[in-house]
Amino acid sequence: MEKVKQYFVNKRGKLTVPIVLLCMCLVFQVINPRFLSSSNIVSVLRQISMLCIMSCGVMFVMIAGGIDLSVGSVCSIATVIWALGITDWGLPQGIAILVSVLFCGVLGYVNGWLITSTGMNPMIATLGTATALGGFAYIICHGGMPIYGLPDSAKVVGQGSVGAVPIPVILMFICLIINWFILNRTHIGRSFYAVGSNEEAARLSGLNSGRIRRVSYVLSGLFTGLCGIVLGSRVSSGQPAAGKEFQMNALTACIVGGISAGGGEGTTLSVFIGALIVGVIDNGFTIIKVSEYWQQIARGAILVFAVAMDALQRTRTDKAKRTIKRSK
Amino acid sequence: MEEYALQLKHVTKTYPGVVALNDITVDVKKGEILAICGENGAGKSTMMKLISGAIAPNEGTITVFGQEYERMTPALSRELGIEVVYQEFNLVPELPVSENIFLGMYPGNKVTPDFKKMEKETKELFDMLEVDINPKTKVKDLSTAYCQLVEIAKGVSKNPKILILDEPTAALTEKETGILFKLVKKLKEQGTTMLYVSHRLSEIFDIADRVTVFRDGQVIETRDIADIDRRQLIALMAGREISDTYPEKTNKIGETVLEVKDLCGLGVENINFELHRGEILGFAGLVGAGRTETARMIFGADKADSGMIIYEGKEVKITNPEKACELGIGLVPEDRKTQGVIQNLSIRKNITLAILKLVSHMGIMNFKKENEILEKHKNALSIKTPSFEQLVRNLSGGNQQKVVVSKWLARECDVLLMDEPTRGIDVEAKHEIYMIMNELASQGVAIIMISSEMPELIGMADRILVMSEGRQTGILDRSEFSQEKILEMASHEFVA
Repeated sequence: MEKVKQYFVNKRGKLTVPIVLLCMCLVFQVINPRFLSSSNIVSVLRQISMLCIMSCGVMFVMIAGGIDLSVGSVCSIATVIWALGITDWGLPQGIAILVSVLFCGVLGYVNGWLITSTGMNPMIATLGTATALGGFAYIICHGGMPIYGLPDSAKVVGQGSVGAVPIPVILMFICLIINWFILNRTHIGRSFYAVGSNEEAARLSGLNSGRIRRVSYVLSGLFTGLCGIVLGSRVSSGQPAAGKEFQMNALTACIVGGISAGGGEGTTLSVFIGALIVGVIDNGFTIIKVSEYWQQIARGAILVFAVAMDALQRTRTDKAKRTIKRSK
Repeated sequence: MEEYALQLKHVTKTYPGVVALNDITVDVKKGEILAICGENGAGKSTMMKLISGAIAPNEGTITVFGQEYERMTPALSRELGIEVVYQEFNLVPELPVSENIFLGMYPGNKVTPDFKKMEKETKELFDMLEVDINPKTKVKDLSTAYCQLVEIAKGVSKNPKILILDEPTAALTEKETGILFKLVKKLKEQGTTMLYVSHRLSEIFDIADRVTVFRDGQVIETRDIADIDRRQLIALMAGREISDTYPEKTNKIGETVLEVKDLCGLGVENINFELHRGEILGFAGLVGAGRTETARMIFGADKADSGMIIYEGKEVKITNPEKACELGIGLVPEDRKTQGVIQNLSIRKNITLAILKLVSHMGIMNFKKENEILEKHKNALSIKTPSFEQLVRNLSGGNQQKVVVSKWLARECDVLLMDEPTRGIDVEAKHEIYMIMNELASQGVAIIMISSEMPELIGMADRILVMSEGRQTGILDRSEFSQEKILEMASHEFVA
């Protein structure tokens, strides 16, 4: 009996999120049976595709023990550079995408470099770069105006579909697979967990913790850049402020999905579930005709709930740690 | 009239696998200064924790002013007038000295503390103690030595009947030590009973009335200070036969692999030694002698101010641990839990942390190769675990340490720095670590072993480098090993 109890105590933190997701789906389904129809499921997936792509990048940073608050601005810059590339500079579609994504990778490197070379707090450093890059996105636009006039072919990435599956959803799954591969099958993925869990121990094992953290920021930039392309293509324009909304949702998805704010923990699947929760709240509330403001409240509440669970668990582990220490 | 202020009667405290205190009896007379001395790990701090109420004894009783208790609690011990001044500071750097002294018991009402009164009373306290510190100074602007004095003043401000000082002079220079002694003598005149824990033998002779010697969790003897001299005290502290068995040494000492010349930094000065293939070089010294700092500087974990490191005949600049690992130098750090292992990762991920490049191709992990290496070292170290996917935090201390050692075995280092490799692990695991060390040495690996357990050093090392106060006091060959000699060199005091 005690063992069974212990099993659930151990698993409690891990099972909460999927259970919450299931309960939400159930409630929405009961209120409106259209909720779990295949067309609505596809539409939820399309809604979360962009924020999920962004989460795929941000989670590397978070697992390695940092945070990236500049992804919103970087995402906006990606849409603007991509749109400018096609309209003003006359680049081929593919090259425009490449240039924009790589530029975002460079911005990620700048973040990482600032943080690791000075030892700045990542939250404050990226808050600063977020503000500055937010301004930069407007400056490179034509007098702060969104960039229109993209050819129809540029809409494929964001609006096209293969059969019934939208291209953004396919891209999202590709990103999730890449993310999973990096975290589980590469040595840099291992290093992210090591540095995020215990930077000093990782350093004393000969890992270059600074370089590892910089790589995490570069990846964050690259994925965010891709998110920006999908976003720009979806609205078929370069929008200097469009990324902001995604930033909060992407971070919410990560945190709700159990990426510990302290670093070192989190899996691809859990972030996907986190993104689904964000998507289901938005979609479900719309479907049962509850106002957008209530959606916002629900998102906030679920975020606080997730962080509270994480913190509670942490206190428990800390307590356990102290107990072990004393009994040494 | 009760003669004793504090008595511990037949107190035993055990931890899983370790007996920290074994049936000890200590009597502290009213108004005396009782010095407590003993090697590292002799049980001094466990005893203090029992008195302050941080932990409870398994057996025995604690009697305070004639009243017998089964255990202390922090609240109870405070109520009885017991105050402990620990080595670590519990001061708030951003607050002025006066507020630190009254922290948690500000005068005035709850909303608006009476800062004037605080300052005035702090001033009076300092005047009484003859300490020259401005109550308005922020703690962060004080030197470590003055922080220690503030910490002591904070203890004194509560008017304790029994004051326990844990290594109070560890951070102090000659001058402040003088101030402290005056203070201690003043308190004694006022009738305060004091327990004085210190490594520095000369201090004990300066101020204590009696001295109790701890060794291996037992009280060896209590003597009046007038009846004992320095030599006898050292003999009492050390005087144990080496009872533990150490595996027979089979290593052959080869050519020089590492040479350290005039290494300085982090309070360590002029370290010089040569390390040979197949050799185990012990580092002996008291806590704070600079052994860990030396090892960390060699490994590149901390930056050295100056000095030269010659590795395999070439001068090398080891600026970070990554460089050290590339050269083939490994470090088993002092604090296993926070620096050695990554608690939240599995055994597999911990062991291959230092060889990620070897078990991957173009950055992609080669699990087959990883498993081969794991299997190879699993047998060598007998880590007791059902699977490699087990999280390290679920392992016992001894097994965690084996994981750290495995990490470097997998790396196949040429030089291994081991900082307290057997601290806090059970006898069986200790023995296994010794076996591995000998095995490595006979394969030609050069090992530096830092240890505070003298018998262990004598049993394992080929040579021992002794340090005191950040300086090297000598290197002993195996034929010259004796506990008395090492302890004498380790407590060597340099005249400023």
